[in-house]
Amino acid sequence: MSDLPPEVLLRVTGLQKLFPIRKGFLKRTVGHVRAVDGVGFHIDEGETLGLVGESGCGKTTTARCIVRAIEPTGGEILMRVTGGSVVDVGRLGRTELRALRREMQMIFQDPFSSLNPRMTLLDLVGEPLLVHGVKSRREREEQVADLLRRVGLRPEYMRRFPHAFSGGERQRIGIARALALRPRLVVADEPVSALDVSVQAQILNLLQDLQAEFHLTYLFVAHDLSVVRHISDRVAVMYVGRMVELAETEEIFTAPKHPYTAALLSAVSEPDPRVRSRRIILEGEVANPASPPEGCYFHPRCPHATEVCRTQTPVWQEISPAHFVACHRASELQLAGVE
Amino acid sequence: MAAEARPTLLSVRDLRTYFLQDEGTVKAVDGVSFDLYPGATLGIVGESGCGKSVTARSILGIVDRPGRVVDGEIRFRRQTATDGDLVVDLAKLTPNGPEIRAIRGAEIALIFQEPMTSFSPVHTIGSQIDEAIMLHQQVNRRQAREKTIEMLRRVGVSSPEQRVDQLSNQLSGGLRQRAMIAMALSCHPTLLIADEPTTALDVTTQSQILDLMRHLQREDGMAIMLITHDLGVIAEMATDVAVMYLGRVVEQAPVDEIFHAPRHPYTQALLRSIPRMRSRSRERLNPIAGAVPHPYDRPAGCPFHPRCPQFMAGRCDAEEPALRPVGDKHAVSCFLYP
Repeated sequence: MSDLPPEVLLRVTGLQKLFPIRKGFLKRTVGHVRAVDGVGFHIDEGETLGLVGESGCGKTTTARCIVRAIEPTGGEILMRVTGGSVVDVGRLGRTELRALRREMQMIFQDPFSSLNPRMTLLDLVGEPLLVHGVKSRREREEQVADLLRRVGLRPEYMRRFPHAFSGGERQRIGIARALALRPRLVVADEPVSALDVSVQAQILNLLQDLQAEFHLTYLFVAHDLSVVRHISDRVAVMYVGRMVELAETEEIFTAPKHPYTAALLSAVSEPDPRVRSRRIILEGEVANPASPPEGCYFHPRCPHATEVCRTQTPVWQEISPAHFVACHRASELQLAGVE
Repeated sequence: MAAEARPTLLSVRDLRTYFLQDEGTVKAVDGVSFDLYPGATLGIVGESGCGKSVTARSILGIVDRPGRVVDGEIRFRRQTATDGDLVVDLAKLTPNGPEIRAIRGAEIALIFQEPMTSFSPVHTIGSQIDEAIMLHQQVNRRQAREKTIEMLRRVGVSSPEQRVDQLSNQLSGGLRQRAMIAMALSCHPTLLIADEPTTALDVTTQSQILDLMRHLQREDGMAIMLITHDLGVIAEMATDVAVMYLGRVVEQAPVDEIFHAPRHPYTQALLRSIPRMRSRSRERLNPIAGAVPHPYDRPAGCPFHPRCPQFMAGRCDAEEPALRPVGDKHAVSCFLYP
């Protein structure tokens, strides 16, 4: 069994998820959608890694593979569990996987569809406790009351159903449920994108408070770059199933090395009419992950593409300490970030 | 509002659109007033349930039942070939009568949020744009098709001769939104209402579409009423902004004043609460307490008072403030400004 450095909680290497494309009467596999193709990163204990990219880039699939909501096709997902031993999440059997659920939990995007409308708050938040052996109803009620208080809901609401709550409150319920088992790793998939602007800030602050209180480690999946900048220690950028850049938050926002990251940063509309910025308007559309182009997947849209970009896949290299990028021209390009 | 030399294109006064239901009346739009000038872009910003979409639908006379416009004026300036400009009150027109149908889709066009559901899935996009053109212009099918292809080319659809015969599900989200814009602009409207036009799109596609809208506005000179919850999009596109909260306009001003000298506590709080690209990472945000109330239990008095940091007991929860001018082209509805 492989080992992890002591500060690392999770290390993903060469993660791959292919979805077969089946056609015809015999449902023969005629190709694969390469949703996630060779993704690798690590997350230190107590840190927040932001995972960004546009729709279809594989960020959600990556997150779901890590919690084994779907089965990865290949790669290694090492995680340090309570007690200090290291397990390969991808190879665990049913029973071991169930035990692992205590260690990693997920927060979902849509607070309206992710909670069962027929269950009360007590059942919703208490369910993980019941599954993991808290049999006494009174004890569960106490723990649920405590959890609700910590996420900013009144424990008296315990017997109500989710429909009685607003979007922001429902997201708090989802967070309480995820935290019920005191996990070490929380995978949050777009946790604020369905919320009103005025409520987003409440939930982001709550996530930060809970991280400090419970010493949580977050994998924070989002498409909104200002939210990601706000919450992350480091940020990874994905494009068509691959990672294109990974660095510390300040570094990636102020000194991006990949043309795609730079374009993504410039595309965000700042809420300030005095900074109507110079845009990098990308031509065309995101490549199809079922038949990606040769070479660098970004080359058909890249303003800096050369011959080598069209033919050779760029390697994932550490261009400066802790700053990784997959671009042939990373060291020569001068790209603008946000100041 | 301060007097303007330019004639307004659209002037909405005290618009009220209610949904009369058995459980009670939902006052989706409750006394909205604003002006829109030719060639300008008015951003209407607000959170869910603030009535921004219902306002747009009221202007077009397409409010879903049981909702209806119960009060107010929607004065729209029509340009006629024969006797100059003519101002009509859209709120007084017969619902689905000939006059509103002549205006809707021709002089006032609408683009929706979901490009997925706003095209018929069983007709080609070309035939749907042809239909819109033939409805409002005296052309035959072949001329309409030529105009359609020309329009698709203008909005940046590559090889429009082929795309025109495709179904909407064969197009990507960005292309569908381009086709939607082509259809909206095919009859050269003087007013384009864009209801969350880029919300369903990725950021890089969003910047393409916003760029396209600005470009087309410069060429055609139409006015845009841009409805969105995204303050970034507003800052980038709008010349003037109306901030809505629970069915009312709480503040209206030129875009620079909204972002740099906001007066209403809600506008101020909203701007403080959003995470910014230029902020330092892991800074704490300043959220607005509570949540937007359900429209059934709208607070009495100023609708924002339960969440307002500058709430004055006995005043804000008793009376409703009116939208009053506080400066040139700047109006606020708040008791802090007498």
